[in-house]
Amino acid sequence: MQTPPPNEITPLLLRWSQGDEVALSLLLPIVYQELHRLAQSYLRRERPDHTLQPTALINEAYLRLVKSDAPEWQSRSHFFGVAARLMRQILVEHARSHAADKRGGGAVELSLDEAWLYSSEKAAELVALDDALIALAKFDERKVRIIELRYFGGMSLEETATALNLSIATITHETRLARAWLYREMNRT
Amino acid sequence: MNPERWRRIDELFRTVADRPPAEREAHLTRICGDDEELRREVLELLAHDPPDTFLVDPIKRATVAVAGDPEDELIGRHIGPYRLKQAIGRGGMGTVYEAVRDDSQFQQQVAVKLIKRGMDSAFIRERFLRERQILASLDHPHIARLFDGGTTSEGLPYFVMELVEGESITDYCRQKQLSLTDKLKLFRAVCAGVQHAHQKLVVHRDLKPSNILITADGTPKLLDFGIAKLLSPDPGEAFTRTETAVRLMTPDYASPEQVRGATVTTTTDVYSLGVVLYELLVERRPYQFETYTPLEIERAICDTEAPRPSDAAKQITASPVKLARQLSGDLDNIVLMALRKEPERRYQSVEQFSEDLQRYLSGLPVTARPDTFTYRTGKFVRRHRLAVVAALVVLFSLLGGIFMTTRAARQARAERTRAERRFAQVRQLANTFLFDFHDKIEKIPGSTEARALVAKTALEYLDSLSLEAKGDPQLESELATAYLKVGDVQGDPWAPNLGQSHDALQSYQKALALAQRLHENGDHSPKMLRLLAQVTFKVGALQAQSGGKTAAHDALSRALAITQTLEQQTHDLEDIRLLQNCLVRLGDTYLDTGDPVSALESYQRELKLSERRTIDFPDDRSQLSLAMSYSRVPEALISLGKITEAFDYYHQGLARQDELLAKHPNDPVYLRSSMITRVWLGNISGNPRFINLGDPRAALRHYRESFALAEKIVALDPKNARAKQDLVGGHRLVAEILLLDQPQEAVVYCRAGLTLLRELLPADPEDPQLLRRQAHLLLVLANTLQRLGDKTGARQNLEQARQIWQTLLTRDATNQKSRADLHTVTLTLADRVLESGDRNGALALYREALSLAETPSVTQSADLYVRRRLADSYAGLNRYYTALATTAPPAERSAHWREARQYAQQSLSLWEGWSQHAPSTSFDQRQREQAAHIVANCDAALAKLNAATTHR
Repeated sequence: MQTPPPNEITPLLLRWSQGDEVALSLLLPIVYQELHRLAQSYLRRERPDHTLQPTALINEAYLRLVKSDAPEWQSRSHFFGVAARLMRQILVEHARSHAADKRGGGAVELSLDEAWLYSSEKAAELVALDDALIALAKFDERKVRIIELRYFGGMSLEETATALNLSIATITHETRLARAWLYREMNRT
Repeated sequence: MNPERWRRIDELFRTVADRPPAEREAHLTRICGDDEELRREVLELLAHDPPDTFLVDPIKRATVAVAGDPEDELIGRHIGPYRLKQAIGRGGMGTVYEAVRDDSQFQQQVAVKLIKRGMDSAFIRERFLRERQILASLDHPHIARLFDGGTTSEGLPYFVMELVEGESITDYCRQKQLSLTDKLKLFRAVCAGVQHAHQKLVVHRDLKPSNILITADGTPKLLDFGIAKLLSPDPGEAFTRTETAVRLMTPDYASPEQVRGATVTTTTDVYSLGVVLYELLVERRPYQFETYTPLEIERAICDTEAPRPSDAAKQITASPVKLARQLSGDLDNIVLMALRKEPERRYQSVEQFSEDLQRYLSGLPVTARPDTFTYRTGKFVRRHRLAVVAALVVLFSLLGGIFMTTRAARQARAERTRAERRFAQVRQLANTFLFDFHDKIEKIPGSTEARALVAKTALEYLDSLSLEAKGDPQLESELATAYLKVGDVQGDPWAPNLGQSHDALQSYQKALALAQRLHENGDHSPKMLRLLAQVTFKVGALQAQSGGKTAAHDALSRALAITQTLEQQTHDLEDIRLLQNCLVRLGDTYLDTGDPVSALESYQRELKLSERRTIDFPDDRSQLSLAMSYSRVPEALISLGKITEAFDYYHQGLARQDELLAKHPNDPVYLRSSMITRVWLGNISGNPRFINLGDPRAALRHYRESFALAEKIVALDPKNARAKQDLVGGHRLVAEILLLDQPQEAVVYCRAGLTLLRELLPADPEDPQLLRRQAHLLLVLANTLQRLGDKTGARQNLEQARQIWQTLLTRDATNQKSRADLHTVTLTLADRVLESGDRNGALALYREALSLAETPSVTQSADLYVRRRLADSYAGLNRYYTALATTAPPAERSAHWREARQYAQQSLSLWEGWSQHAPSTSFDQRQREQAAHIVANCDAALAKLNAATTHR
């Protein structure tokens, strides 16, 4: 696949944020690759399982991909708003492929660092979360947005409020209700 | 969900979410009307208020996984002759693919491990070729074969190995719920594989559960043999080896030598197998890391002792008691032996490790012992230097002595059999005894119990040896020294000891008997004289402490005579010191037996000796000793009523000490002596507990200065436990004075002192000195609380203090100090119980106090404190009958008053009789006046009753 040069990233982000799904398909591999690269560099520095957080990755990705690039993307919260959704896409896509992966008893666990093992069971958790978010989006897209920003994008209450132009009280309430609904949805058997 | 309805739910949720649950329902009922479903929906959502981990955790895990995800585009690609079919395992370091070899006749299935890190990959191929002969020779059913290795065109290292279908040994055991025996059998099979590799000189270096797979039929397969070495930089390469090595492996299974970057050997695998076994047994690894920083890892692996598996099991497993019982003992020892920090102290081979497990399975004695002595001692001493020093002195001298004896004896062929028997005993000593010693140390991070065991075991050996020693002067003299040291551990009055003065006395007496016989048989060497003098002195000192004053006096006089002879020959500093000690202790005994004149003479002789010492050995230590002598003379002067003169001596002593302190401002020895003299000055100035000058303010000033010095010693050496103990004592003294008119302040000091003690006690919960200090503080706290009106608090603390002293006295029945302290607290408690209205309880306590105060010939005793205790006990009983008299029906009152008067009179008589023994001071005068006053009160009450009766 042809990888767009970095200076095309900003317009892609813009396009995608305006609803252009083609832009997303172009963005995914770039950010994906970038996340890999960043994670690897984390890995060399520290124990990843304790330090590697979505926020950290997005933050670095932002610094690398965007900051130097375009004036209209100066607002960090805007980038995070987009990146949070992208993050969700990437993680869910990855998780779905793993959840489907029937490893059975034949798997050889990669040694040397098993803290990194990602089982189908673990992957299924994220898939369930995504399913619940999709269901929620059908009647309350704003709450899904909030969950994305806060949990996939790692934004604070205040940042989320700014990004969505809502009061902190509203964000607090909506997060709480969304969490309750998602939890109930995910634990429905 | 209908968006309209959802908006309604949202609204309601928001309205009621912040209300208390009780209100919510009422509110919702009001708003929802008949829409029962709406109400239920909102309530249900309100009931779900989950912590956000259900969101955070999966996201975080997925992020980590994405970061370490395999490059799926590699599928279908060829690496060497192998075509990658699918990824079957993945992690941060790389991916394992199932692959197939296309070029061969048959389709060989293999696993290809692709390392995603380009670390010194250029050499991998070269190394593989270098090692391949060896790796190829690893042919064992429990080892997954390594076929090939190299680097891809991108420079990523890869390895081709046998494809194994199975799960990690930990998962396997958990899923199959294997019994302990089955786990051990499985583990031994793993050992067999490792052992095979070791025979081919291949060390795994990275053994851990995910490298030990168990196939469906229960066969273990070891993965990655040889890979870690291929990936490690060569020694001498410019890399920081430690860091790379640690990065490469999961630290949870890494050995200390790997963490330190030291040489890796087959015993490294023994260690990692030990960790795996640990985890199999208790489902937990020996070290738990929180941050995985290199520092934390190094600390834990290199410096921390793993908890015993049996202890770990108690905390976590489902049936902890049973499992802990199974593990305790042999399995603990086996696992911990594999986990020892120093490679040379582990099992020297996996075979030995495995065999020991087999022995355990067959019910045979295992070879693993609790950790050996020298190593653990070293560690332990570093941590508890002061506490354990006495124990070590015994051990080393004991062993040294007996080993020497043994060698000497062995040279004499005629005595060969005996020597061999003795050798066997010594060996037993060196093994069981020392190991037991260690065992105790490990269980409790204090030393008392350990030292108690040392003493007990040492005695058993010594007793058995002494049966044989008859007629062997060399052995007998060694034995005498050994008994002396054991006695020191049990109850040396001037050193940390076990508070077993009775046992100590027995040990000293055994030593004395041996030394006397040797002396009578003609050994008059200085060495023998010194031993004899030392032992005689210790016997006397202990007898003095436990109440046998006459015997003590005799022994000390004899010790003095021997030491004088000795010192005239040797002019040795050590002998001068012993002479000083003899004189001081003899002086104390004189004082205790009511002969302050002789006491003063002894103390003054000692002072002269100190002066001479400053000339013969002119150093500051001698000066300090002289200063201390000045502070000792007053003891006798006080008993002679010459309190002012005593005061002058203290000040002289203190001036000298402070002068020395100015020269050595940070030397704890000088600091401490100044501190102690200030305590003495405080005592005499105005602590009501002592014969005193009635000036509590001065007392407080001295105590505060002493306190500051104690604090300084602690600050200089925060690990010095004795300094902390001194500081605890300082808290008590300050509180004792503050209690008189600033009880609030006193409480603060008591609590601070107790807090400090709580830091010390866990290290040694049985230590009598610590317990005594705790009880003292509790007593002061109780008296303070009483003064503040907290009667419940007062009584609780008294009861606790009393319990401590009862324990101490039970342990050491002849200890007069414990007896005296128990008396004080019992009497105080009796008063509190009487106040609470429980008269029978109070009476029992008063009687107990009286019996504690009644020592033989107490009325003859010139010990003012002994007399005071008895007088106080009578005064207590007086209070009891007075309380009875004031509330009894009128007809019974006069009988009670007569009882009360009789006890008051007994108390008064004791004070009146004091002047026959010692010159009267303001102190005993005050006591006498008080007693007389009480008698007069009783007389007045009786007179009033009589008048009333007559009148009627």
